[in-house]
Amino acid sequence: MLGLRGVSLSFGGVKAIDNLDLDLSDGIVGALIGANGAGKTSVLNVINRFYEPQSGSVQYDDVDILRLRSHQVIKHGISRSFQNVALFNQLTVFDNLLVGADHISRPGLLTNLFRLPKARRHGREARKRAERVLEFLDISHLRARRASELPFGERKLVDMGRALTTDPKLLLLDEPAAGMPEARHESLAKLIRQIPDEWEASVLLIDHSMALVLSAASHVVAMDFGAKIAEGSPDEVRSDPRVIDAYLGPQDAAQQDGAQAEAGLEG
Amino acid sequence: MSELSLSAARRGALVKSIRKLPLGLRMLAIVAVAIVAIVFPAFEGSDSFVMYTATQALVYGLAIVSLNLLVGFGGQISLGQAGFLAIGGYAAALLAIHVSGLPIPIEVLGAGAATAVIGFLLGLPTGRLRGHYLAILTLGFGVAIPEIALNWTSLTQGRTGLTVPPPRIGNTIFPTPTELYYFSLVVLVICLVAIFSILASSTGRAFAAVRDSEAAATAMGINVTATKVLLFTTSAFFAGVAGDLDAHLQGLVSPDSFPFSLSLFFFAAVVLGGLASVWGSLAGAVILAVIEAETSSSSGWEPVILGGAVVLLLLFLPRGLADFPYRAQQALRRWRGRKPRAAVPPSRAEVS
Amino acid sequence: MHNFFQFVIGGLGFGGIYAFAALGLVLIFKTSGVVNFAFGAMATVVTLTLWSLLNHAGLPFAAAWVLAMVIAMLIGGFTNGVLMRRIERSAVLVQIVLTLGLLILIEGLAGVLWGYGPKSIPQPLSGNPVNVASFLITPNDLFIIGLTVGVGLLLFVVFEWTRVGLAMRAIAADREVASLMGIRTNLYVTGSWALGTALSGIAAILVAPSLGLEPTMMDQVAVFAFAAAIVGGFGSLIGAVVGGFLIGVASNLIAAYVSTNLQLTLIFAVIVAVLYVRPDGLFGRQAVSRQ
Repeated sequence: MLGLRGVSLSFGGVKAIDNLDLDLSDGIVGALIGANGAGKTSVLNVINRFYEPQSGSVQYDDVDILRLRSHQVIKHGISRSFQNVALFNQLTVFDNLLVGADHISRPGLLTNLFRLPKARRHGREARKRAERVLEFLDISHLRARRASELPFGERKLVDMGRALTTDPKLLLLDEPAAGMPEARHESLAKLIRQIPDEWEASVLLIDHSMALVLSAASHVVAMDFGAKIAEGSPDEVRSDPRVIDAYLGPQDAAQQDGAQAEAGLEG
Repeated sequence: MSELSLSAARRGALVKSIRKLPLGLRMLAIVAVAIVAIVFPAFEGSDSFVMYTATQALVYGLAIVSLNLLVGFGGQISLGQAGFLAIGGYAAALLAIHVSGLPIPIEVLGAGAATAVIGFLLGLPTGRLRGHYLAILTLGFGVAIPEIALNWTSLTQGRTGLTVPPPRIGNTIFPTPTELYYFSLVVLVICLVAIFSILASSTGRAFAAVRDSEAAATAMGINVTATKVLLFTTSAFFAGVAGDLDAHLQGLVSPDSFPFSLSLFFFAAVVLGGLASVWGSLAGAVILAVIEAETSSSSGWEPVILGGAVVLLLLFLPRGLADFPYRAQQALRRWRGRKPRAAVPPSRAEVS
Repeated sequence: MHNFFQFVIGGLGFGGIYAFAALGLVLIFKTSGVVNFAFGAMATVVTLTLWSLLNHAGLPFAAAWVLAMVIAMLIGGFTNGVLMRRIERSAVLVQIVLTLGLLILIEGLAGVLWGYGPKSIPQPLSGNPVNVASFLITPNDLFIIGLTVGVGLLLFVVFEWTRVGLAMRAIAADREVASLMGIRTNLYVTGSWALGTALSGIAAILVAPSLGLEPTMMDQVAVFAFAAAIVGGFGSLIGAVVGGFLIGVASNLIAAYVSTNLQLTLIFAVIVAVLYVRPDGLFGRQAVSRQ
């Protein structure tokens, strides 16, 4: 159970997150939506301890997350993917996944050097886990490819896979659908919906693809200018007037502008 | 010239460039190198200068692989690797002189461990430093160590240096060039096995992860600073062992044995051999030792050749010499009029 | 106490030399983002050229100096325009390695062309120390200090208050954006390499009479110059000048009170301390971290 209370974050004078409360129950897929710059990724970066909020608290189960250093967050079961994909480019897909699994039991250098039983056991378990992730995401054919060689959409999948390999209790997914053709969004949504049951992890999903969010998540929080403007089931949030205004509104307006411009060109 | 970008393809960590060759050919090459290395003294053992050069190549091999561990596999920089060799060399000399009857494996481990401690200390600030600052820091280290050795006369005998007795096991000593060669070969092989073992494990993956993306490594639970410090410590250990071998080979350690230019030459050899390629580094070591032997009489062409090679290589063969077999293969195919392979080397997935 | 200040003043001459070397480093780093590890070797070649102009061509000192500066600018411009430009988009490591390759190559070439025996060139000003407010200082040191302060101020004025400086600051802040704004970035970067190499050339010409002119002469000076640049924050021209004087004075005090043979070691300790406590130097601003 994740709980953010009154979290505020600003850079210089710019407020990225404004007094945000956020709750996410275990075993569900939750989503955070909002236009670009609404502060969604900043929320993940706060939970992940990349950003230090000026005020507020972040609690996960009984753990005060803000007391951890960023590399310790994962020990408490919180893992993440990255908006712009931060794979280990020179490693193979399989090795990328193994790095994810490595935190589960981190054998020391000498244990590894002499291939002590603990190191071998860790290797076996890590490989087994990575295999299972490859299968789940249906990317087994990519295992020996170097991460840098893959197209963006597949890199996104590997990024998500690496986060899954860490055996998380809470998975933070930052725009998993970016760079993927829209035709694949539905199958991706289906994968994400399976995560709570198949991997015993809840998911906090960020995306601005409304279709993906609505189909994958059961609980949605909408943000605008760093503040929460609506919360509820996908249907409730979709029909909330403030969300339509803040999120869908400008998009419609832009489309209208575009249409007018085209009309102008033709005329 | 996107090829010149290091980020793309040069830093093939656990994916070694030699992988581009078929597996059988690779095994054949390794076996061939091993056989040559073992039987070599049978043919050249009588020529002590050749044996000296060959042993020097082994010693440089370990030093350059230790540097490549840092640079190629870990994405860090050291312009002071000769400083680590110096510490290992002095530690070896002091152990051999002051502890009579010390078994040679203990001496080698001791030299490595002493150097690892210094590597640990030097690595401490690296969690916060990168790129140019790290280069300058390690450069200063490499320049300072010989000066300290020069001035700490009670320990180091100043400019005179310390005479290093030949390696010994029990009451047997190994003073001949051929024996020194085999001694160095055995130590090198053990170190290489250890290095490959580390690189293939979770520790090696953590090094590569920190190199490729510190943010993602952190999110995956890797303590970036601790990993960098561990990397410096590990690299220093093996450099210290190389310093031990060097001390026995030269029979003397003195402040003049470890000039700044040696660190630069090691760095050049890493680049010549290819970043993140152990075999390439060994090839670079052979080249370095041979150039040094061939140019020692005629004044000053060694740096010209090495420096010129680095500059040309960066501009024309940016993946290092380890890439050469693959390039040659491609050129051969073109020459035969066949279509060259795709620019991206095929992976196992594509083949299957 | 009087002795102490005499040692302080005695360090200012070398401080000016380190300041020139650091200025060259910082100027190139600011516009191109590259620390030119080959700067010492390049500066040595400039000085060896000056030596040849004096001894073989028989030019007067001032004329030889001017010609050497022109050659320094050609070397710097060539290095960027022909070599560094080809890898300007590569990783920092590649750029460092190329300058290291150049360092090895140029030092070696200098050895092959001019030999390794030390040569001498005269000081710009000769003469016995003069008494200034009860402290002794040589005319040559006074010349160096004046030249350093003058050139440092000139660079500062150019950088802060002219259109050229504005363009260079824009390039330093963001090369892509500067290029989009219509600034001819390649010209300015090459120009800063030319000017930076001339500045380090001055350092080498000034230091050669004291150290003895030989191909590896600048290896040790380089450590002092790096220390000066780091103390100054590696990005500030004023910082480089102040850092140069600080390092010059500090090393003279070390030589006077500790040991003449431990200068490099203690300066290295200074580098470690500054980098550890303030990674952006005493004058540098905290860099905004990525991520």
